Amino acid sequence: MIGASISFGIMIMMLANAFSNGISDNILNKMVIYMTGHVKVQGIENGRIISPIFRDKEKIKSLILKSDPNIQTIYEDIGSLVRVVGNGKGDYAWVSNTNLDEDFKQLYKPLEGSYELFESIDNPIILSEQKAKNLNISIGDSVNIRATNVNGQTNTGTFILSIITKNKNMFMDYAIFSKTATLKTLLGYKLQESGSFKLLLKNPKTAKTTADSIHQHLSPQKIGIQAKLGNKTIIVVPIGTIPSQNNISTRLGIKLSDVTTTKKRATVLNVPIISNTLDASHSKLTFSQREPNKYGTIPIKDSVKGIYSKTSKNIIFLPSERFFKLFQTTYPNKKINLQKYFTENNFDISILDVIDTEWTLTKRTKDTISFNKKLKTLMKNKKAQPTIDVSSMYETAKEVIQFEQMFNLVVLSVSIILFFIIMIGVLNSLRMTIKERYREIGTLRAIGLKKSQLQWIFLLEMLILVSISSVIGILISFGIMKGISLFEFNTDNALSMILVDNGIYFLPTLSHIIKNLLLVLGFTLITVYFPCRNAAKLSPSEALRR
Amino acid sequence: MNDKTNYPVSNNRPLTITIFLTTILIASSLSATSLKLKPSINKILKKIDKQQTIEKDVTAKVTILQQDIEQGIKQMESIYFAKGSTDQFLIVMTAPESEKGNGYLKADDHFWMYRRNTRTFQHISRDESIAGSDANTSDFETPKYELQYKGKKDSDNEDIIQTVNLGKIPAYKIDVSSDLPNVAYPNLTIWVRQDNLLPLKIQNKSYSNSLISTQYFLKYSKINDKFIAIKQMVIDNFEKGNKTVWEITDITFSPIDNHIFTKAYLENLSN
Repeated sequence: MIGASISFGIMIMMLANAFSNGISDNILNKMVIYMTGHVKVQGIENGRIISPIFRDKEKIKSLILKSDPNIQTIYEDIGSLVRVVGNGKGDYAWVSNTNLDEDFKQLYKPLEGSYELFESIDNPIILSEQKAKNLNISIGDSVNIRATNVNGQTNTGTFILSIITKNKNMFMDYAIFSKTATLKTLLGYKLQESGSFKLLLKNPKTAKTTADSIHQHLSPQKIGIQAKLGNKTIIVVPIGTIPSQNNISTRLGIKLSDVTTTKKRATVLNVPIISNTLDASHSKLTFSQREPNKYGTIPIKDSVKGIYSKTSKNIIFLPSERFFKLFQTTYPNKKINLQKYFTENNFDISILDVIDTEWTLTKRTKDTISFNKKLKTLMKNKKAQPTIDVSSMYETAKEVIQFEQMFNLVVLSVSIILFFIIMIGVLNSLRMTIKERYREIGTLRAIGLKKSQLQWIFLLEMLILVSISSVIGILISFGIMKGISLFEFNTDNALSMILVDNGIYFLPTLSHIIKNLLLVLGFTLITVYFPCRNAAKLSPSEALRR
Repeated sequence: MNDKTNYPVSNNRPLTITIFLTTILIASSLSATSLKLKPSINKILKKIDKQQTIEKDVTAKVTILQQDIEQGIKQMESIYFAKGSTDQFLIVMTAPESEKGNGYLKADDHFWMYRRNTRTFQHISRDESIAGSDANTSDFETPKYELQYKGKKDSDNEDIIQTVNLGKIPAYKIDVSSDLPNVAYPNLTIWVRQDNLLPLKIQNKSYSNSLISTQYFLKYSKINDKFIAIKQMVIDNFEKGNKTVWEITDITFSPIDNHIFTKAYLENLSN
């Protein structure tokens, strides 16, 4: 009876733990990865938060990778909400890129079609069984996709269905996939550009710390572009807002006619400023682009001559908006770190105060509310200067994670209550058992067994009973898990969040087995110890009398 | 060597000259007529903008009839307020019941969508659909074709303008494109009437030049010396079988108070 109760108790604990662990795994390692990654890094220009873009993806990628050894994988995330039209039927979907890596293949198992077909064509598409049904299409059929590209223009493309997947949950059904290069064309990205970066971590629970570390490593620098004015090498720098009281504006020779005044009484430069010692007869600057033998130009015919520090006469100040638009359309090859350049050339460092950084970095946020507020602010910021945002899943997918935590708490609370009720039953049974064995205790004491020896006999007996019962309980729990997971639930409501392959998903782990065993053993031994001690304290005659 | 006078001189010389001169005259006159009749693409775009821009405040009732191949026919009604001087507008949905009280506001270059049920505002893009129809918020903005688009030119750098008949109406057909960000359709083919340059039909094309939708200007009304397209139809060429007809009625030009174009006004309407 006691053994059966213990088996039942540990079975309940095992089922609860495996169920809750399954939910965590499903949410953290499948849904959140698919939605935002454990950490997300995105670059925003002109307030277009729906089309994040990094112009120099390799630079950002290397800075991210240097920041934390906890980073397991970094994904270039090209994606957009699109309208898909199949055979007379349309549906919305989130189109995303895939390089068919092992993680992807593990998550999205082909039901029809093949990876070979995907690789062999330029414009393949992967979608779920449900999506294929919605669009009335099968392998080899074409679908038309309509998207808004990174420049806010409508673009369309025709894709060939190459793989139909059987997905593990309904969230995954919403996504469709194609090759990175194909999607870059559809969504208007150049090859050296990227959307946001999605990061998978070795330990997802430390996502906040990793995000903080990346944030530190992405601290922006003040940069300039090396260009030519005639034969003279000069540096073009972005000039941002200048507080009207700042004497730098006087030293730069900024006149009222050259600026617009913002609401905060700061000035924004309208025209380039060049030194009065430079030959401004050339109407434009030229600079080399990243592509070999390709040159860009910057018109300076409307520039004014500023009388700034004579030591920095080879610097041309370009209004920030113009400067960053140059970055968006051309790719200057030679970028100069201004802090270093000014120091090395003994230039007036204070001028750096009015020069904009290569990008701005948003503040880290703690929760979804402050993250959403930050997004709203980003949306209103229509500046060409890029803004980089680093967020962890605890901000971007907090609702999902909160759901996971709440669900786990409820499951664990219920199971612990149930476990203790069972254990109280076990305790009573034990007390009764020991009482029933008083005569046996009295006999053992009468033949000379010491109190401590008697106590150990009982404890050892219980230890063996608990161990065997626990193992049986664990084995039964595995059988039940297997049995329950065989049932299929064809639903697309909120319940499907906890389903994997249409079945309830259990994920038992060794650590949970050990923890449960220790808990049951500990609890049972404590329960047994006191009745055993009381029984051992009895004199032989008293024990025999009872 | 000096026998120029011995060259044979045709007796028909005066006739040849006459024919030559006549040909030149006819050609130049035709050319002049043609130049006179065919405006530049820039002028056409400017005219479209001018004719559709109303500097005054406008209040109107807009009825949108949406035919969706999957969802059937849906009729939506709204009140449209526009501030001529600032390009602000507000659309308040009045029907059907499920949409009543919802609104779309353009203020300070930002577009907002208001949901009455949740009493929340959502920042939206210019190409956000109005109540799920093919009409976008940008359709209600003052048109800026001249600033946004450039006409296609031939090898001689001349505007390519075709003279065609659209039904029985003589029209000019032009192709224009835009490389500016946030212009939803980077390529357009436009048909305008030859007599007053009013647009008759516009094909909206994607960046890859695929036909997305065709806009027909079915009915114009002259109000206060302005031609207003009071009935338009948009055929969805991307998702065939869908179409939207929108009609503008009850147009008035009375001044509208600035407070109408605020979130607070839209919220108060729900109370």
